[in-house]
Amino acid sequence: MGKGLKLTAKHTWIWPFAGCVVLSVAIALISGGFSGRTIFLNVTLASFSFLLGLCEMLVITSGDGAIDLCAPYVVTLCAYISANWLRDDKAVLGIFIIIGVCVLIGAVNGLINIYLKVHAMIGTLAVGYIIYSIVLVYSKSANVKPSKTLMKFAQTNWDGFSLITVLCVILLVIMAVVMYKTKFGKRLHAVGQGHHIAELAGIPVKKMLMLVFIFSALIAGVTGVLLGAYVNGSFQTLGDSYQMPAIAAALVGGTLVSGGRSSVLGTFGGAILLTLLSSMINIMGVAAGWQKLVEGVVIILILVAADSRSSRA
Amino acid sequence: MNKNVVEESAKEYRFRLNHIVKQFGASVALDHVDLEVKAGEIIGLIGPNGAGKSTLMSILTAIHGATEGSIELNGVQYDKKSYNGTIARENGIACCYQELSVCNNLAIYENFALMVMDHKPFGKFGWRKEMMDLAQRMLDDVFPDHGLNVRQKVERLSIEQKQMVEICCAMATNQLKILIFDEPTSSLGTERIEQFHNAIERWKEKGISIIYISHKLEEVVNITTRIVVMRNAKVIKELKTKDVQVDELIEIMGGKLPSEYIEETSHKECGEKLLEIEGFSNDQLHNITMDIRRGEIIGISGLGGSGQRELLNEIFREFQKKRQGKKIRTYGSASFVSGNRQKEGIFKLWSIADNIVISSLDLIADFKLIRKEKEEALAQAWYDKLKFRAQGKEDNILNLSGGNQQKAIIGRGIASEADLVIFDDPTRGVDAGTKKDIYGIIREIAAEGKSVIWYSTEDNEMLECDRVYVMRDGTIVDELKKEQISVDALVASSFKTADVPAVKKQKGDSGVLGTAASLLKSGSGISIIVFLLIWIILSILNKNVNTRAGLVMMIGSSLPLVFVSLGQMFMLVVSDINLGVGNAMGLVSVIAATFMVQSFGLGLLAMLGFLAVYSLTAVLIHKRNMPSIVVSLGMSSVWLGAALLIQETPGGSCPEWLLKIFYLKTPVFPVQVYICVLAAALAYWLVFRFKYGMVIRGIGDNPGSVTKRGWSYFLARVMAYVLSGIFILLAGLAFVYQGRGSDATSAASYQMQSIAVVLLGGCAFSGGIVEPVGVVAGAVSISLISSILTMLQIHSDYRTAIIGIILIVVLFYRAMMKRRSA
Amino acid sequence: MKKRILAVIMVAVLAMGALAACGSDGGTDEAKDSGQEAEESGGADDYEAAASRADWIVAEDLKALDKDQGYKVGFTDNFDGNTLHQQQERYFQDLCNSMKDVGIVSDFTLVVANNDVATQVQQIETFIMDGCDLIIVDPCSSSGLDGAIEEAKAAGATVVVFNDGPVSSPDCYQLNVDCVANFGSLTEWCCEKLGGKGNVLICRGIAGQSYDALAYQGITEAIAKYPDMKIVGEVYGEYDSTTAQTEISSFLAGTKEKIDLVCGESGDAYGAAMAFQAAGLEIPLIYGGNRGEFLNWWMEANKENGYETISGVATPWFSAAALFLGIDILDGEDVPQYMYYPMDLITQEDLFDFEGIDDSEVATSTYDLSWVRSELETQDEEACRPEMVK
Repeated sequence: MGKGLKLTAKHTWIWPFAGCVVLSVAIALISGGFSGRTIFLNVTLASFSFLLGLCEMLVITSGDGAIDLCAPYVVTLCAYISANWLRDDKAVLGIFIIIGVCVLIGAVNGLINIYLKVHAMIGTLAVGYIIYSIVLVYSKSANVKPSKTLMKFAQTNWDGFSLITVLCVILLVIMAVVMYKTKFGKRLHAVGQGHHIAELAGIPVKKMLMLVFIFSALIAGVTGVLLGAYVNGSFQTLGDSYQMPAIAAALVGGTLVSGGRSSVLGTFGGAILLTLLSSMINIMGVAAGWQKLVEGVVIILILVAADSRSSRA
Repeated sequence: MNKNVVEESAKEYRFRLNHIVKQFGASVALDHVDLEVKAGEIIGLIGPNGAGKSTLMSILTAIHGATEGSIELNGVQYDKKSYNGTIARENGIACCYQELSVCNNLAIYENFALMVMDHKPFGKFGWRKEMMDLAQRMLDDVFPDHGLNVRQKVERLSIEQKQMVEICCAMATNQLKILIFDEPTSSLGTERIEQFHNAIERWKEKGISIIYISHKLEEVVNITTRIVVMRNAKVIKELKTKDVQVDELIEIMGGKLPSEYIEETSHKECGEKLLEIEGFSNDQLHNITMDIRRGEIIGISGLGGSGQRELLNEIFREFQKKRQGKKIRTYGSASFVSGNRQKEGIFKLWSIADNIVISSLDLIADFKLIRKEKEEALAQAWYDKLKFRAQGKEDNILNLSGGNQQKAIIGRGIASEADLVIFDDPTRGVDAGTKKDIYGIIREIAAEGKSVIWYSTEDNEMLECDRVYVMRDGTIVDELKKEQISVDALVASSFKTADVPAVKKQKGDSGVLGTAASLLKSGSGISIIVFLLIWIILSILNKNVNTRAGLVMMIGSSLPLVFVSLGQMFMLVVSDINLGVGNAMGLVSVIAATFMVQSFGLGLLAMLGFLAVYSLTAVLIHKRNMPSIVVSLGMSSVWLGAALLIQETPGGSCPEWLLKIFYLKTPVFPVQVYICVLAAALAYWLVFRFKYGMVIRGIGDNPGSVTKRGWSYFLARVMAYVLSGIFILLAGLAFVYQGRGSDATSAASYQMQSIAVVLLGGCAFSGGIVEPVGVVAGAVSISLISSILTMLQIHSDYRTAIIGIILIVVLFYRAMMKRRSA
Repeated sequence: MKKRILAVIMVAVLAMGALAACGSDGGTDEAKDSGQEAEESGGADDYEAAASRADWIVAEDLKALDKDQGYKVGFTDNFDGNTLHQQQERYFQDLCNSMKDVGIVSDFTLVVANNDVATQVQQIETFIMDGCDLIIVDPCSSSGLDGAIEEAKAAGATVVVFNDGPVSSPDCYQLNVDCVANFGSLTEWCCEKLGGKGNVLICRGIAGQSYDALAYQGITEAIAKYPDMKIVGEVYGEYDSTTAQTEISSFLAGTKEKIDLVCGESGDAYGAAMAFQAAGLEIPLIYGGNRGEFLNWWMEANKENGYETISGVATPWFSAAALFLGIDILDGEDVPQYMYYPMDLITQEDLFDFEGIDDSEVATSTYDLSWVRSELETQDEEACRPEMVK
């Protein structure tokens, strides 16, 4: 028993996946039958929470209680930009614009955090507010629907198993390698355990933080492009509903809120878990009030469970 | 309670610890330890790290419970179960800890209050004056000419001054009978140490027993009457102080004076320069000139607080820079080994292996990817070389003793193959055996051609060096070369007068200009200025703003945000954050619009129910140690769900009595303005004048130390949540009035705004620092931005961007102010 | 210090991007106004020129209303992120500018609340302080504005609420959409078409809003008349195509039921169709909300496999209607306090009249003053009174 707990403490991602299994069974029971298609569709829907969850995981891991509160707005902005620019001959330029915008936003977040010494949570909130204004203004004149090719690309699937899921898995592998096998990843985890300690260990903390914010913004941008294409068009609050699931997915998956420890696989599991939860509540057909109540309580319970299993600093 | 009254003769003992055994899991920290202390004795408790000194004291102060054994205090015996912190305090036991435990955000006299006052929530009338007098008296008594103002916040003091306050706080305990000092002089200058020792003498005359734990053996020999030596969880020897010398003590503890180790080292080839400093000055350092060559061991010495640490940090920073500085020139690379393991040294989540390799990633990686084999090999090599006492290199670093942790940090510094290794007091709190190992390591790396800068507070260690720079007042006052180095010489040099410009006197904050300046610097200041600016702009744009009707509307519509932000503020005090205050307010407004309209009693009950659940989240967060951000996110959904269940669609109405309140015809200003002012005043009183508010602030800043004084962290947190909940109730009422009914989904937008407001107002995420007036001003400001935009005909799309920009500017300004005054 | 300056500059760049078009979106339309100035010097107002702002504006209407009243008007829209709202703002602005040209209106301000109740309250209060005579509101909340509306009435301003009402305030005029009747009739038509048998998925709006509650009431009451029609699911599409698609996709991912009918609440029809398409399922009967994207899709589907359905919505022209009503109220005309704005229906027969419509447009009809007077101002106040009004 003790060994089992130790194992799960090290591999925190086991818990979210266990939860996924439980919920899948529950859904199958409620809807009367199991279907691979159901699972695949849910995984696809979970992709967006997962991707944003990666943003949060990156920023939270950098320590100091940092959280990225502007990611959802970046998603919305990039969805609009991609709808306008990623079509026909403008496409290549469009890609550069999106990358440029994301790098700019990440850089601003980094500068505010590092040189103006503003806490990341409030700094990204402020930047998020500014981006929201830009979205509001831009959305009036922007083309809302993405190009047909982009839409087709995003909606490609093989009997439910979607291309987006494949992209997610690829990104998952890349992130895992980056976080756990590269110098950058190791240093990031050091930074998360204490900025000053990391500095004295010779790590260029400022550079790392800047990279983290830029990375996060880029992932959010990609999410925006995919999401906008998948749902056939953007609207002003496209990214908003992914804010909470993103943070929850990262934390449920085993990322420590104080920084220094992360789990890419766990974030994936967490995202799927939350999507399954939301699906299940949907098909249970209860009143909106109960839906919200149950969602909130279950998230807290999951976090209580996840937290007590993972070894704490 | 198991009291056995013992015979008369035993009464002459102040306390007695009998056969104390303490086990932490499988490891034995105390192995049948006996200790007897009489009245008026000064006991020096010494021993290597891990000997059990601090653990033994923690049993006496009841921070830990003994596994076996009993405690006898003033003639009354307690067994291991019946002894607790309250009994310890009631019997006049106080402890002054090694880690500074003063609360930075509180005034000096408030720290005394926390120490001395009873744990009732309300203080007697006039307690603040009483505490100020007490603090003044104590400081004057122990440290004459301390030059401190007891109303000053502790964060403004220097480390030495903070330690002085710490010592006096301990000495101020009611009916003091036993005073424990754990490394009390680490940050004190010689003058102050002398004053401190004089005070101890005086205390001894009064019959108070003192236990003095210190690694500074000269001090122990100086002032104590009896010395107790511990090692490996046992007391191995007790001697009368007058019978013993420092060398003997070291031998008893198992170490030998470094002077025995000065072997004939082969003539070192000192190579080219690694570091060259010429006339460098900054805020703390003045006209530093020094150099280091390859293979040299350079010592930095002098009285504590003379700028040694700053110099080391500066040197390290220069090595990290890519461009060559003008006054400081570096060649090659450097690594840093800090002696402050907890705060600057160890990566707590990691194993020994990870802690070692982190600075050597370039050596074990190809093309950015870390090679597992190389990593393992490197870690194992250093693990073996440094002779760790642990269960293998994958052992978590927190399981190690201080000495072994230090080895890991040293390993890190050397493994990186840096040309220069900087040691910042590495043997602090380390046992003699490990010290020996460390000296060996330093000698080895120097022999290999690396250079070492070594700052140590133990003069003996400087004998290892090739050259020593002695510092005073931020400058180098002497340079001793090999044969010149001796403890006497070092001490003599450390008292040389330094050639530094006279310190500019800090201009006091007096007079009108001073008050204005201090207002600006205070947390609320900027927020109030922003508010005034916005109000002036509004008034210019539309004269009607300053009419009664205008005030009713402008201030009235800000009230929900004002109360919600105050609610958020009380969360921040205990360094929690609540991402569900918006929907919580929504729920309250729904209750008010439905239940309360039906029947006041029912509504009140429902509201109290809400308050109970709201406060219970504190229990969850505290007991399960969960991050408040996540719990509150979940609760946000819960509040909304509950609101929707009570009221599926918007509606309801505003309770009559509430309407009447808002329709009151008050003189001069409309009632809304008075409500705002009252809210600010109430919050201000709760935070700054209410005794328990001070406790909550203290806990927010330094929970560990305040709880050591006997206050309950848990209770404080719950209290903060209750206060927060009360303001949410008020917010809900204001919201219901605004809508003359309720709409569950429309409260969410207040959520993020409340966070923006509290930060604008001057509160800090880190806890303990709150500014009620600033928060109220900030809330009104942000509410009014929409009005300004409408009047200026600027599209309301820009509203959030403007809030974002204001936030960034204000926070930037605040950070600058902090930097300047630091 | 340098880096700090750099940081501030970067923030400023970002902010500049935001404030790029830092001009007013308010009432003053510089270019056109300067042209009109010359015309207005005493003498007869040029009604033709004013009416030329939009092809649906009738010069005679302006003439009929013109008494040089010089009213001050304030308009707050809860949201302008979709084309329906953008269209309604355009209609309002064109009409109001025309009225301004001839002197009926002296000045007006148009603001958007972006779904924030607190902001909308502030906006209404600012209008009051500005001395507006007429305040037109597309409300963010059915009850959150009651206080502000009460204050407006106390200050002597007239408030007309339209579109996303009803609101519970008794102090204003309301031009509401009869959700119960509208969505009820659409649902009934569909049920008839299905022969009274089938599974229904309801795509609702935003939980907790009265518009949604009333629409839901209409839909469920209609379905209740057909015992063989079963409601198998409810999702919240938030009146938006993309949200509807996500939510319905999520629902389809978990259910085994075959859906025969999707009842939405306007704006979500296209998204519903796409959800089924993406899931590879046969597209059920869906009634539309006159959005161009849905109509275009409908035309395609009809050509391909004879897909037939119906579509209806209360058109965005109601903002102009509200303005006409407001002027009449201020002029002392007898206007009922509660009115319903009718629904524009598009049947299979009418469908191809809309060929060529842009995806982002809303198919709408426009009216004029006489229509307002004959169709709206003659309604029975009590019959149109929303239940929620206090």
